[in-house]
Amino acid sequence: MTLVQGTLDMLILKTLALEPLHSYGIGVRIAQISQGVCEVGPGSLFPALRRLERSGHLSTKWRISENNRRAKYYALTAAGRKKLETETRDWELQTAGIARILLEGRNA
Amino acid sequence: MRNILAELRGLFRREAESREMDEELRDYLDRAAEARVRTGIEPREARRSVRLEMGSVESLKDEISGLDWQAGVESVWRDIRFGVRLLLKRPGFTVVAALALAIGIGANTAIFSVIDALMWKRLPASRPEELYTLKRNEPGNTNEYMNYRWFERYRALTDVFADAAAITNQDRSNVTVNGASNESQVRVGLVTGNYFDVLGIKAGIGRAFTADDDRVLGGHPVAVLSYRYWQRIFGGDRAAVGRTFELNGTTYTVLGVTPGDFTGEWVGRPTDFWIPLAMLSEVLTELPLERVRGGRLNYEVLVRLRPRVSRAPAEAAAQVLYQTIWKERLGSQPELGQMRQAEQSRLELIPAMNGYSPQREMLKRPLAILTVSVGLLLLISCASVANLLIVRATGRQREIAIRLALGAGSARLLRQLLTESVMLSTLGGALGLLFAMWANSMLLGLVSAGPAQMGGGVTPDPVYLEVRPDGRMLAFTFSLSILTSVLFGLAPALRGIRSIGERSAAGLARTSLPGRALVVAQVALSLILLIGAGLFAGTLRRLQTQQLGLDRRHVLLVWTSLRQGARIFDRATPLFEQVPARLAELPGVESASASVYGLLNGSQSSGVDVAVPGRAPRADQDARALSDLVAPRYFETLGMRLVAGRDFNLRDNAKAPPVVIINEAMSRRFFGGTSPVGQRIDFGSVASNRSIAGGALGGARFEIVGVVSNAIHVGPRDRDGLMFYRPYAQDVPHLVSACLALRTAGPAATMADRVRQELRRLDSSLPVLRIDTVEQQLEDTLGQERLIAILTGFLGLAALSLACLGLYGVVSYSVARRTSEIGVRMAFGAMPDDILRMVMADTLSMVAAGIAIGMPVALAGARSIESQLYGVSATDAATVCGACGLMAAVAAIAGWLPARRAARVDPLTALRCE
Repeated sequence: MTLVQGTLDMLILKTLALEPLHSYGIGVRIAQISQGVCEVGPGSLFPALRRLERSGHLSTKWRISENNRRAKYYALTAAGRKKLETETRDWELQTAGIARILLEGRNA
Repeated sequence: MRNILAELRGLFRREAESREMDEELRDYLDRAAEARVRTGIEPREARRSVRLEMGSVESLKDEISGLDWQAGVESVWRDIRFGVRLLLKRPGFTVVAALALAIGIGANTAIFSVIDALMWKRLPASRPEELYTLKRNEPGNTNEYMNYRWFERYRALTDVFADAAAITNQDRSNVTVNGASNESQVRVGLVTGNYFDVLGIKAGIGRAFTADDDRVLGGHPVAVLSYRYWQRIFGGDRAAVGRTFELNGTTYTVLGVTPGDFTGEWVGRPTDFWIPLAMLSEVLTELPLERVRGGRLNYEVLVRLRPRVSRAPAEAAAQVLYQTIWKERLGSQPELGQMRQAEQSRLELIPAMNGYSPQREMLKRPLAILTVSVGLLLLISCASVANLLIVRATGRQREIAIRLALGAGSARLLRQLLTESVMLSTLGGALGLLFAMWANSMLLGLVSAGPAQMGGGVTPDPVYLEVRPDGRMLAFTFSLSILTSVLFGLAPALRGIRSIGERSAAGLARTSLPGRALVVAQVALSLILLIGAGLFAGTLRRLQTQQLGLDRRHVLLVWTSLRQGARIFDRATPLFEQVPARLAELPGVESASASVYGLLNGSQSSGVDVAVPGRAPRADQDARALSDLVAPRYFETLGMRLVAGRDFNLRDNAKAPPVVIINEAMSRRFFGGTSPVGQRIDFGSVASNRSIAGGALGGARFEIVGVVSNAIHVGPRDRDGLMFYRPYAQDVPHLVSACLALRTAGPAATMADRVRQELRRLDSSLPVLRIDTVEQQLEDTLGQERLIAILTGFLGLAALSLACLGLYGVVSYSVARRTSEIGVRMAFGAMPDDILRMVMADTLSMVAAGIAIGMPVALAGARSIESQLYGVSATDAATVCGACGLMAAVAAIAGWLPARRAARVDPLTALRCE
């Protein structure tokens, strides 16, 4: 299933709100939490990460990972946290609105 | 800012970043593969599937780094380096393509810069968009100018006009600087004192004069020099301010010098210096005072609108005043025709922000013809280069296929190919700029061609423009180069990328279809240019060799000026009587005479309406005739025939009844077969008013005493126009200039020095402006025709060579691709001649298609240039056949070279290549 346009950034930010992760971990976490509904391939994941890094929403750091390998870890910056908040609020407003429209259709 | 710095630093860290990115991607790949292995998939299969999912690592990296602008810059830089390498690798291709583009772009730049200088450049005035000139638009009157009294009344319209200046430009020739007299003509701008204030132009050095320098008639002997004149006469010496020079015996003090980019409001006729209008009588010494101050002189009126007043209300206000002036002119009982003329007349405000130039109208046609020609040439250049690119792109198919396979996006490849095109066209544009500078001198020759004006007529003078490469020209060339690169580059690039998938299919096609279509188009376009060039060349030849109606080899013309020192009237009569009589006594001179206008010098009155009692001209027939005032024996001297009646003699003076001699064309128009001798005619305002009113002409003033054969007069095309002559003694006030004519026994040119000496002996103060033969004068008059013929011929040949280059490329390419096919054919017994015939048939079919398309277009287009032609019809069969023949012949040679190569194919070698 393809993601709704523009939601990938939000999902990444949300995933990283708990703890810093490397790229593969982000993809896995999104799939796990959504129980396989949202799958993010490398083709869209890397450009999105790069974009967020450039815009200052994410910071990166090379760290030794759990299995003793070097990996690039992504973490939320203050700006990233703020963006997540506003995006979440907007998303809730939007989905609520969309839901009302769809239910209206069903009742009629 | 910090961001930008960081990014700039980033540019130098690319290597490190790229490595980092590789590492991250590898890490991702490892982890994903491990995860799959844990679900029980074999390790190698797991890695493969993840790779598949990730797609090309290269393209992913490209996409990721494509997000950064620095990467964009870098990849363009990479494209450029790659492009340079490719262009250097094929120097032959690069040189030919760049030259082809240089011709196309250069020709367009040259035309642009001339048109820009003549039509579009703004005056260096302040807020030039507020400037307008006033123009009278009256049916039956070609005079658009104002007299001084009218100017003063328009200036008083202060609700709409902030200010207004009157200008009259005059050519003078006796300037003395430092006691040395200057023979050449100068152009003097006689202007109201507020002229520089109206324009908002401040002097570069010294000061410009103001309204206070124009108060007392004859009391302000001051001048402002143009930058050019200052450079020429005073060598750019800043101390020139405050120095003096003499003009017609009055000493003027130099007040200042204008900035370098200002040459006057009249574009194309640079003014040399400006003098306040109060000095009019001192400058135009030949005109009687009452005529100057009474305001019969023509002024150009330059107005500046009040701020926030737009054109329409200003024009409306001026129009009301204009109609009031008309009513006053007509008096209380106007004639019907005059009233109608007044009703149809309008006053217009013409925007003057680009300056003013009557020559714009005159040069519109030739420049339009050249614009279309260079446009076509550019298309042909583009088609040639596109062709070369297609041929080459096919050679590059392998490279492109490999890069596509490696995961380069097709958008990325397209950018790469277009970068190469842009580089090619930039190179072409740079060369084109050099070419344009050279071509400009030729073009300026075109616009300044035409006879220098000796008399005082109203025909527009030649144009003098200065064109220097400037920002506008560079911007034009650059934009044109970019546009060109898209024109010739896009199609081959798209094709190159698309055709990869259809490679096997493309292999079957004998030659590339777009390539053939381009060749056909090139042939068609070149044919149009060739036919045009042929028509202009034919016109020129006809004009040069036509019967002039007079003796072209044995007539010498001597222009003198009456506008020197003394008033003219005491001076003119001897020039028409004693001087010719003395010259006729010179050995080698058979007869001598004089006329006011002379021949072929571009000056003439605008013509007058002629009326004959009882013979109203038909509505569709022009009754306008040119006229000249001549001395006795004029026709004999020029070698014209007196067909009926008698020549003028010394008894035809002011006291005798007025007489005229008409030419055959006029005799035929008004009198048909009957003899006009003894009949009466009238002309001028009397004639036009009465013929408009439809009334019969009562006692017409002039008696016809003779008929002469037709001969050219003003220009090479007017031999059969209506023309009449009057004896000079019956209209002395109109003797504004004099041209002496001599009939010589031997070639006229050899007598020039002898005549000059004799004139100096007779009157050392008489300036001789020019001595010329009719033949030379005709050549000068044909300057514009000659240059159009040369330029279109040059463009036609350039087009022809480019088209043949394209043809050669396509045929060579097709031969190369068909080598193995040709080998097979020969192996099966085809003779070299068969192969030659096959390839030539292919070539000629393209040429035939091009001719079939080009000819009807050319014939349709030729209609639009019909008015520029003379003696050749727009569909002249010889010209059209000649152009087609030339096209076919040259194309055949271009096709024959590769065809011969094909015929020499060795079947064994060809087949082994497979």
